[in-house]
Amino acid sequence: MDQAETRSRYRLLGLFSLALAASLYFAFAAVQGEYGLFRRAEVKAEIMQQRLILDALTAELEQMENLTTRLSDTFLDLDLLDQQARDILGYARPNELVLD
Amino acid sequence: MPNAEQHQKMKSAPGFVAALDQSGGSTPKALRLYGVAEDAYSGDDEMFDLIHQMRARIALAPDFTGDKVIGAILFEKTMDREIEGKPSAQFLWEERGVVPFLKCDKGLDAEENGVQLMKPMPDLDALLERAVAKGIYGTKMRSVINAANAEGIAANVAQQFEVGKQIIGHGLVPIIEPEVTISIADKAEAEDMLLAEILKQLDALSEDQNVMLKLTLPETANHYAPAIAHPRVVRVVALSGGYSREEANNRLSQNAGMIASFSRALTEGLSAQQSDDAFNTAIGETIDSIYAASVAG
Repeated sequence: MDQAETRSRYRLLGLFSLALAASLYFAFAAVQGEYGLFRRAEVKAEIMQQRLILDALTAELEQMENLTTRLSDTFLDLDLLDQQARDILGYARPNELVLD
Repeated sequence: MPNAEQHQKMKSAPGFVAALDQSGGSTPKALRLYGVAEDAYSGDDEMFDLIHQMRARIALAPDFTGDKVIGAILFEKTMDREIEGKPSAQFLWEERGVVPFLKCDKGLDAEENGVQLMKPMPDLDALLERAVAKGIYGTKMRSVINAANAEGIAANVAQQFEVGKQIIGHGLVPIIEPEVTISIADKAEAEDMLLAEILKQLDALSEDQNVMLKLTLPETANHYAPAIAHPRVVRVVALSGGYSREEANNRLSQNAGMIASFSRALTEGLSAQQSDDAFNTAIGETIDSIYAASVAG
């Protein structure tokens, strides 16, 4: 087996090793990498959590809008006004006992 | 026993129930809306006198009669005062044919299980005796539902009916108002639970125990029809809870048998500087628009 054959075997082995290394790298990257499966699962979970936060904030915003509307100059809701005067300002009538 | 004539009016007369009042803490705001700035009065007494003058002016408006405004909800301070020399409640009924109610709750507790119950009312019996003496027909008390939580809604409705029976014991008719917040995502589900609890409590009432219900305009049309038809229910009035007037009128017209009960001040568009004619015209238009929505349902 002369030198040329040996060299070609080494070259073949080198190429094979290179290919194997590249495959391993891409396999690893596909699972663990910045854009891999694990990261994708993490991002998905994060999206779900952010959506929950968004829904909660949207609900809170709608609640605030409702309260603001009902206490605006054109829509003075007396029941809510009475409730807010008590809760926020701590008002009570002179003849009332406040039991907390 | 409630006054038979008032009872009949509340049972079947067309029209709506108005709120003639606002609470003490909000009087400066209501006065400012009415065109009376803070520098126009000094001290609480003068302030309450001014607001009472406005209230009397509303009650004396030609259109403010029992033909369209079948009931008016008063705060305690108004019940204790007079209009044209008569106790307010007596004046409203005898002179205007408007059935007087008294708002008797004392605010809400902190939220628990998705609802806010009413704060305790230790002096309720004494207040109700005064109310009967002043010619009041019924009362109104509000609690709030913020989530479709079965346990919370059951406790909310149970408290309302428990206090309601105490009120009935004085010969008055309670308006039971478990308000469902209109901005919650599970409103329809909460309304299903609410209806079931209300019907359960109504079925437990005896023959001589009658109530009125004040309920948020529902998500599904005619949702409260079983309560409207219940023998123990005098009337079901609708609460707008923040819906715009158009949305409220639209929903009201989809719920047969429900009449409006706007706790919005009737003072929209009114001011101290208006002439009597302008004032009466403005309040007449407000009354007409709410009345039209009420009878459309």
